[in-house]
Amino acid sequence: MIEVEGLTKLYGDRLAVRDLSFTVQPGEVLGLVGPNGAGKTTTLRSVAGIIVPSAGRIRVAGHDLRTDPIAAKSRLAFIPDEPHLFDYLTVGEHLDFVARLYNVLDGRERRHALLSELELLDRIDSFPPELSRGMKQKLAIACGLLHGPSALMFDEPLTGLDPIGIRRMKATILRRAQEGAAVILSSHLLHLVEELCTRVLILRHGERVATGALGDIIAERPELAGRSLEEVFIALVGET
Amino acid sequence: MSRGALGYLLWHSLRNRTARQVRQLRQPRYVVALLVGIGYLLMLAHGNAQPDRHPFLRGPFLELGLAASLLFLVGWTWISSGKQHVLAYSTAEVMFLFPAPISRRALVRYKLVRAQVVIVATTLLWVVILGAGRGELPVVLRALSLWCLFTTIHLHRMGAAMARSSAVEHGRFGVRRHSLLIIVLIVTAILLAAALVQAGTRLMSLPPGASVLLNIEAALRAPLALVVLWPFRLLAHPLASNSSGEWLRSFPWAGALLAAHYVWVIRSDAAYEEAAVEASFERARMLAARRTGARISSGGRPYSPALWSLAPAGDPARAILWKNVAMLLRRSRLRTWAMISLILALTLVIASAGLPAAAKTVGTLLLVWGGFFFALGPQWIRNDLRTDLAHLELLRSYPLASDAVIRMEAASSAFILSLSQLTLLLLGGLALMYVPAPEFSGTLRLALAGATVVVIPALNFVGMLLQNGAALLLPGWVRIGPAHGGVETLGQSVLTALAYIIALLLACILPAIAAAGLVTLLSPALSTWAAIPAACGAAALLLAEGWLLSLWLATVYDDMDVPGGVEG
Repeated sequence: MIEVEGLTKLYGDRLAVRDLSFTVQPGEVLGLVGPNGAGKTTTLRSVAGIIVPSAGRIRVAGHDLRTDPIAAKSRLAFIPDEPHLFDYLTVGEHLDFVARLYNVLDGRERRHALLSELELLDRIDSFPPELSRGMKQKLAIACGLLHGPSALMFDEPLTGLDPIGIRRMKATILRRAQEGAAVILSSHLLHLVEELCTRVLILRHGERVATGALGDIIAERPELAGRSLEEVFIALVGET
Repeated sequence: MSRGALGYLLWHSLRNRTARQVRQLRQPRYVVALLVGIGYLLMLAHGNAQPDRHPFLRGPFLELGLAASLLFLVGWTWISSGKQHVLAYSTAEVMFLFPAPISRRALVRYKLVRAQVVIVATTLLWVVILGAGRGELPVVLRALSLWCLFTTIHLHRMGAAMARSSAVEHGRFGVRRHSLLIIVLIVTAILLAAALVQAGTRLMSLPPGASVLLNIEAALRAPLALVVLWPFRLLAHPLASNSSGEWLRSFPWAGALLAAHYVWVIRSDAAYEEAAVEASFERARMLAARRTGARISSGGRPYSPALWSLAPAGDPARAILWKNVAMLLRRSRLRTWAMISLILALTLVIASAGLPAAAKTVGTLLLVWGGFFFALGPQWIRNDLRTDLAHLELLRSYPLASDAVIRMEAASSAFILSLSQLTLLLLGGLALMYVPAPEFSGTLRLALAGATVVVIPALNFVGMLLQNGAALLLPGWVRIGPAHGGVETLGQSVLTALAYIIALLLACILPAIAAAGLVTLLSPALSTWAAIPAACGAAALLLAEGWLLSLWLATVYDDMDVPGGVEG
């Protein structure tokens, strides 16, 4: 479970996120959408413990990210849009490394299962520069999933994947949610958000514009009845 | 048209970069660093304005020593990888310039002009380092000599990298295009080997009492060595000139060498292009073959196991150490290990041959080199936060305490640095064992060796924390990534190294006092062996300092902004 209360982040004088609160329950997939500069990445990075919020409180699986960051981080995984991999570690060694970081005692077994699932088993001794963009993305995802996180955050997870990869990725995200993980998915691909997410959080200029299931958002605004998420999004963020 | 665009890119990039660095001065830590840097340069300039004190730092010996260093540098360039920094363009340059209607020759010229920004800055730094007001040579002539030397070496590295890329990447076509160069290289290598043998023989025949520097000079003056060093002496001579008249006579030769290098680089480029065209046809044929089912080589890097396997259980922070050591060992290539093996073999041969002068020279050089590693090692061995800050987003997401991350990052490079240093010192000590020195008894040598083994890892740990601290405190000024190398950045490297040594010495004050106290206290009972508990005490204090430093640096690390953080 992810709980965010009054999250505010300032970069110097610039306000990136203002007083944002939301929760993601186990099994839920929350879609984080908004135009460029809306504060999506800042929100994700704050929840992942990568940047320190200027104000507010974040709890992951019951652990406060500020007071107990190690326990909180050991329960979450953040998969950025651009895979960060180490050039001189092989695919298999990346997973061994993550297993040690997260104290995954059955790391070797999980490694095999994940690499099979993501079709990387035959590249286990390859180095990242020898992988395609999509394969790198899959490896980053495998690293994120190895320790069985209870909170998962994806930033544009489909970047660089081929159609089959996209299909498998959607299945992977849904499977983790069904297994009880709280998932946040940030994407500009509104059809993906509409397809996978149980709820949507729409941001604009760092503030919440709307939150809830698409049906609930539309129910509060009768003029949007019958419209797709894309049309709702454009209507709410006021851009054409 | 392309010249205008490239000039625009060059000028605006330089202007904006400078403006950005000036804007960073709004932060007090950068102001402090700048003031310290200026004060340090002034101190250096003042110190070096005194007349030369050592005869070996002037005239013929300087020329010979510099020529030998340049020979080593150039030799290293040829045996190192073809895909060097010297040829690399930035991603943006590749994306914008390579598809643009600009000739490859124009791109090479652009790269040469861009390098001049760094070379000119380095020249000015070196004028200060070598002493602006020292010697008989006017400052301008000294600066011109340095500029000519740096530019020629840069051009040589560029030409060598192009030739290697062309030969390696384009197979037999590349080799054919560079056949003349390959012949020259083979002849030079044979001459060099013969010169080494001749210099070695001369070294072995010298009397044991002479100083190490005189031994080196005598070895370098062997006839074949003088032949091999001739072009390098041409380049070094203007800098070693004692008068303007001598400089005027020598500089045209150095200038001619520079001009020849420029022509070589431009012509190499043409050959590179032609080889690339032929290779493209060959590639097309290979693609056609692939369509018919022929096997194609993957061209991947060979897998090599890590130094030790990483168990899933245990201190998670040690995974950082494992990763960084594995990465560094994989990044280092066969040539490094070949060089280490050569030094080892040479030392053992000299030591076992019972030749005191040779053993003394080689042993002293190894010890000096091991000592130099304190200053220069941290700039070459960067498998710590100075590389990993590029992955800050990922590092921060790990369930690790920030101070543990910092300690393990520093320990990663300290581990490799200590290993390298101890190997050099051990070999040096081994060679010196065969030199009669009654004042250094066997017991004293053993005690000193033991103390060194204890102190060096702790000292390097603190040193690497200082290096990592600089990267955390001044991320805008410290380059993130592996070492670039190259003579054109040597000025900055030497300055950084000197500043680092001063900081390290400050950190050593307390441990040194403690060690001295322990030696005084324990030597009546333990005699020379008191060095070992004293070293243990000093190491413990150094580690304690390191621990405190890591706790403070952790707060800096936590406050750092992730690159691109304001984007979304």
